[in-house]
Amino acid sequence: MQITRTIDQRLYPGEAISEARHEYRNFCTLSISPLGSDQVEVVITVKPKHKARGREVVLEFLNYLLDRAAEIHLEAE
Amino acid sequence: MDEIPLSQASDDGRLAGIDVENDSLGEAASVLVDTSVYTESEVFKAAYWYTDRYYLFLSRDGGDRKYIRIEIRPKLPVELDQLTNACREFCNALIDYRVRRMVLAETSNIRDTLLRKAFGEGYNHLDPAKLGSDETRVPEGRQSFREDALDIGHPTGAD
Repeated sequence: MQITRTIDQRLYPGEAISEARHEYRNFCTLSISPLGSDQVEVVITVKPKHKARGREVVLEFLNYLLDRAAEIHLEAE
Repeated sequence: MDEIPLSQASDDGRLAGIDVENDSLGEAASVLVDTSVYTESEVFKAAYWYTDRYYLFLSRDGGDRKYIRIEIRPKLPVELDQLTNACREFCNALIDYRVRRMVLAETSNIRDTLLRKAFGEGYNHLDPAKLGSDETRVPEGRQSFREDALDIGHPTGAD
């Protein structure tokens, strides 16, 4: 399973993306390319071993990313 | 994609400001949040508490990216009504966090004064010799509450 998302780095800081990528390294791979100011295109590819749970892997990854982004934003307040 | 801020939304088949779509990840409902009304911080606080029950994804929307689109997907299969209700509840949570922020701003002076007073009093009693409590009126062994040595049972306002 492969999903492409446009991620706004004002919402999801690079630090959150890096941490989420590291945390989910056994479940999926990320390909990140810049899309102009503050935006990156992220292609999430679920590893074949977890293909059957592809939806769960991608959405759990995005939730983890959101949790980290929220923590970073709220710590900065 | 057309922009319909929630405040201007109507029942035009988009469920009063809520968009519903079905893609490779299944069904998703989404709402647009105007960042001139709600801060990013309020959006994150509300979103954070939804991640235990739903999958959420935030993205910028609109020409000047002034809106944040909140995309909500169920963790377990649910009816469409439940999913759209989750969006409405999310909007209520945003109002909740907005009001909290306003109340906090309005009462911050009182809170700071109370904290200053509480810690300030502590500063005056740094000398351990002054830390002892006044034990002069503590009942002795043979006394009981029935004797009411402090006349606590005396009705006030009756005189």
